[in-house]
This record gives sequence, C-alpha cells and structure tokens, in this order.
Amino acid sequence: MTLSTFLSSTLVLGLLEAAPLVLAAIGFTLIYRLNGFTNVAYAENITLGAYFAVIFNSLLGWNFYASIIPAALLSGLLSVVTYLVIFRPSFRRGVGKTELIILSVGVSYFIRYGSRILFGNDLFNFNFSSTSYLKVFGIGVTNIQLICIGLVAVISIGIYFFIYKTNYGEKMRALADNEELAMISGINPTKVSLLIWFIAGSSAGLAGLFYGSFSFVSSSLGWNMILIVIMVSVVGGVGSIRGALVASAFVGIVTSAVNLLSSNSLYGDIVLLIIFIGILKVRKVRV
Amino acid sequence: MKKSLILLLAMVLVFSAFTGCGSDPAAETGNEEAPAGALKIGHLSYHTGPFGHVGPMFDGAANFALDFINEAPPLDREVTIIHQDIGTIGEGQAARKLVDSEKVDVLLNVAGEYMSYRDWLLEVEAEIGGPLLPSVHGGSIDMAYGGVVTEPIFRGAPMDTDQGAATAIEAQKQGAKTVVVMAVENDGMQMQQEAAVKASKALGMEVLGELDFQPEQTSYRSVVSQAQALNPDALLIFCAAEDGGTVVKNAAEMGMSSIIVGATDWMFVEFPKTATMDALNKHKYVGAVGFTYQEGPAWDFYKAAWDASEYAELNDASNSYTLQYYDLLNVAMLAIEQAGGTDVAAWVDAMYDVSMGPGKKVYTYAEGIEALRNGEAIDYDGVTGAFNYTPTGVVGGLFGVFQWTDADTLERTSLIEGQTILDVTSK
Repeated sequence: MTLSTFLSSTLVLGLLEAAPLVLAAIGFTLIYRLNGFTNVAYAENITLGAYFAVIFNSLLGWNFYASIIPAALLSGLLSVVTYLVIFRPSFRRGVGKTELIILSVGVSYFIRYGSRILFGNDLFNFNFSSTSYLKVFGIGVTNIQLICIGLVAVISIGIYFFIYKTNYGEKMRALADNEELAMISGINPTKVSLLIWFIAGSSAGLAGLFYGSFSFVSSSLGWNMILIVIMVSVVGGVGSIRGALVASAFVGIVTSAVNLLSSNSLYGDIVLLIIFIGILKVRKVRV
Repeated sequence: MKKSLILLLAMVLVFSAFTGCGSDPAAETGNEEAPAGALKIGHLSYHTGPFGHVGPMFDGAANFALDFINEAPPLDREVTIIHQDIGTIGEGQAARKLVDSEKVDVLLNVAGEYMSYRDWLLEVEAEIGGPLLPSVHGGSIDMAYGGVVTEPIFRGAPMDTDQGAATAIEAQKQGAKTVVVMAVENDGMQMQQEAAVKASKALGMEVLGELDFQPEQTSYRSVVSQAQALNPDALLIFCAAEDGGTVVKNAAEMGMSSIIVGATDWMFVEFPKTATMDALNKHKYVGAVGFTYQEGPAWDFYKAAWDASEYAELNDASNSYTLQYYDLLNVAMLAIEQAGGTDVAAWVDAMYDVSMGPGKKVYTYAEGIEALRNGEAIDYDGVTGAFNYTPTGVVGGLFGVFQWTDADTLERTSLIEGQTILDVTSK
C-alpha cells in the first residue's frame, strides 16, 4: 500500500466509521451534561432508532430516506418516556450517581430483551432503491454512504447551532450548568429537560439507523457501540458538542489507520484504549 | 430508589414471563419436565447474544430428530431435551449447569468453545462416568480428542480443517492463483484459516496475506482495504454469516470484484441479506463451501419428512447443521439402545458398532431400532454419508459448493469429494 493510498484510505474510511459515532456521542454528552450520570440505557436508543427505521423501511416499504424522520422522532419519544418514567422520579428522590448507572444498566437490559420479544433474533437490513458505487480519493464508497455522511454533517451542525446559537440552546446550557440559577432566571427545568432528552434520543436513533444502514440491525447494535460512545464523550469533554465531534473523527481515523497497518483489527481497539487512558490520565478526568 | 428498583425488577419479571410464550416451533417441544426414567439431553444452544438468531434453527433440528426417535425411544425411555442458552453465560457455564444441576445423560454440544471447559469435563467424566458427548460442531475440536471412554466426544461434522482445504480447492477451481486468507478470531475459524493457507500452498497458489478480524463489527472496511491492497485473485474468508455478508458488501463498496469463497456459515440466509444481492453480483464469484447431503435412501426419507414438518420454516432441508443434528442424534440414540444404557464404555463401543458395522445397512432411526431389537447388528448410513468414525470420534463427510442465486435461494453447484480433500491435506 502506497503512502497516498494509506492516507486517503485512512481519511475516507475513518470519516465513514466516525459519522454515526458523532451523532451518538452528541446525544450521550447532552444527557451527561444535563444530569451528570452515565446513561447506559442510551445504547438501546441507538438500537431502537435502527429498529424504528426498519419498521418503516423494510416492513412498511417506505423509502429509506423517508423513514429517517419518523424513526428519529420515535427514538426521541422513547428517550423522553425513559426520562419521565424511570430517571426523573429517581432524580427527585435524590438517587446517587452510582445507583443511577446501575438503574440505567437495568433499563438497558429491560429494553434490549423487550425489543427481542418484539423483533426476535433476526437480523434486519434496509432496502435501498438503488446503490451506486463511486470513488472518493480513489477509495470505493457508495452513494448511500455519502448521503449518510452528508446527513450526519447537516444534523450535527444543526444540533450544534441549536445548542450554541438559539435561545432554547442557551436555556439548555444554563440548566445544565446550574439548575437553581436557571430556575431563578425563569427557565422551566422540566420543559428544557424534556427537550434535551428528546434531542439526545433522536441523535441516538439516527446513529443507530446509520450504523444499521452500513451493515445490519440486531438487538445488540447499541450495546456493542456504547463503550466507544462513552469513551468518545469523556475524551471529547463531557457536555461538549465540539469535543464529541472532534473525538469521534479522531477515533474513526486512528482506528482505520491502525487497522490498515496491522494484520489484526483488535490492535485498533487496543491502541484507541491506550490513547484514551493516556488522555484521561493527563486531563485527570473522572466519570 | 428502592421503589424504582422494585418497579424495574417487576417489569423484568413480567417480560421474562412473556418470553416463555413464543410460538417458535423449535421451542415447543423442549425444556419440559422430564418423565420418570427419561433420557435427558442437555443441548448447548444459542438463544441470546450475537448468534441468538441461529438458536431456533439448532433447537428445531434437534427436536425434529427427537420426534422420530421418540416414536420408539431407546430402551423405551422417552428422550427429553433441555435447550440451554449459551449466548449470555457462555458454553462452559451452561455445560456446568446442565451436568451439575440438571444431571443430563447426554451433553449435546453445537458450539466451538469446548476447550474452555474440557479440563473440568474430563474430571467429571472420570468421577461419574458421564455424560455422553455427541458434538454437532466438533469439527473445531482438535482431532486428537474424543472417541474414547475418558473423553466420549463423537462429532456430527467433519473437521474444520477439511473445510478450510475445501475452500482453497474451490478458489483454485474458479481460476485463482493468488489468495488472501481472512478469519475471525475464534478457535474453529482460525483452524480453518490455517488449513486453507496450507492447502492453498499445497495446490500451488500464492498466499499473499493472512488477515484476522473481530466478529460482530458494523464495518470491515479497514481489513478489506488491506486485502484490496494485496490485489489477490481470491479471498478465502472464515466467519459467521452476518460478518461475512458485511465483508463481502464492504469489498464491493470499495471497488473490489473478486473471487470470494466462504464456509458453511455463509449458507445461512443472513449472509445474502447482509451482503445484499447487489454486492454479491458485483464480484466475479461468491460461493460457500459447506458440508452437504449424500443422495440416497436416508436423504429421500429425511427431506420429505423435513419439508412436511413444522420445522421446515426454520431452514432448508439441506442445511448442514440440520443434517448433522439428525445423523448424530440418530446414531447416539441407536448406540444407547445397543449399549443397553448410558454407561460410557458400552456407549463408546456401541457408537462404532452402529455407525460403521459390520451389519445390516440402515438409513433411518426407525430401521435401526427395529433391527437392533430383532438382534441384528447394524451399520447406519445417514444423510451426510456413510457416517464412519475414526478412533478419535472424527466423522467423514461430503462437501458441497453453494451459491446464492437470490436472497432466498441457495443452490448447490458442485461437490468436493472427501478423497479430493484428503489428497490436498496429505501433501
């Protein structure tokens, strides 16, 4: 493999890998910033977002792109329900962070095995009307992948502007930074929290949908991704959308580079873990 | 917090109750209370985890064979089966549960992690003289193990190494002169990879690279990119159906048009579903080499029965796992009748007796049990062939080459005889 092929492969493949991760990390980091705990059940939002899209696309016969919006809305709704039924009552009772993580693991298991009852063990695939094979910097990609990357970019930028450039976004950040002060300022914490959980859930659902469109949808889709999502969010700086974007792209590119150089893809994960541990050690971050 | 946890627990219990109410045909005949005197089979199967989708097929294959066996069960003892999930707790832990708690007479193993609990099981065998160990996917177990009283493993599938060699033979037949051999990191697949490398060299092909990858990834673009850079004529790939589908799809997406040969798992419908027919058609050739059936009276009976059964919806009659479950359970139960019980020493001798004679040729369990009860010696020839064992419990078999003509249709395009494989592996 020549150097130019290596560099172009690393960039193109890395960004392809990173695209859904960006969305997943943005959603995760929003909840973390607002509520300050590691929501493991977020994994199931990723999975169910993909399943929702499967219902519209594969089962009801909708166009793949038309199924994106309802899948995102349903995933956001699921996130809101989870918040209202499980987590908000716990916050109100003053449940500790560790117990919340345990609770979220339980919720995750509950949703995952619940979805298995509904969807079974089958793997699902999306139906695309037509696939074109293209080249970007000499690397083969499909039109679907390029459209997905484009959509991820648009959605990510949209969320970024919403959080940092709009009145609602300002309220969300204010609530996340200091709830009491935000309430004194007239911010309705329930309304804003619901909005954050909705956006986070929708992001997760979209991430799952894009992951699924690259390969297949199974009940363990989100669970397999959650560790890397947590790591990306922590390394990117919890609560930082910009950090999540950069860290996701970094993860995709580093993993691709290492995998291209080694004969075993496990090394990519190992190198990534070592880098993350190093960064956390230097920054002295605790989750 | 306590209330939340209680609520969560209650919800989990309610859902757990619901999970027992499925209409899966594979689940209906298993896991029932065993009647007194019944022979208990503990079946290590998948209901959860990444291979959860194949569990119903495995359970169905076992139930299908037992439906016939229980029409005239060995020693007039009804045969019951416990389908134990290994997807979450692992094969070793599940085996312990079945042996220690359920006290099964037969431990039927389908997966490839035998080595992780072999030491414990050998101690159990030495201590209590059981259970019997028919192994459907024993092809991933080192061929030095089994076939003896101290380790009563008898395989339903030929060695994985044979399959590795068969893929190399097929690649060469398709015109390949250079190959890259790829495999996921588990015992059976690595064994096949090693065998494929050796066979490729023995056949005079150049092996440009050996690449390992992790199972259950959403993308294999990096490893495909490495393979692409080596510019081989053919890729020999050993992995599960969905992983293989993703690799083949990624390869097409990245502009490759290659000869690709996979193994038995690619005969599952998940392979074309994941790969997409669009991607399969972009390649010069995509085939799967897998264990296959032998035409004859055993196959004629079995195929008609399978197609007419409630299990037919699970998979095609020619599915290699289903064939192997059927033959292995038939022979194992006939051997219990011949042995007069589940004493390991007697059963091991009986396994050789009923499977490879000398005696009357029988092609179904019913023929076999009738002959045994008439005092005749038998030689079982099954749907997978002569079903003869080596001294370490290794069974021979026939290999077929399969291609997906559409997302639902798998076509057997040619056969690879056992002797052809032997000629290559013995070089």
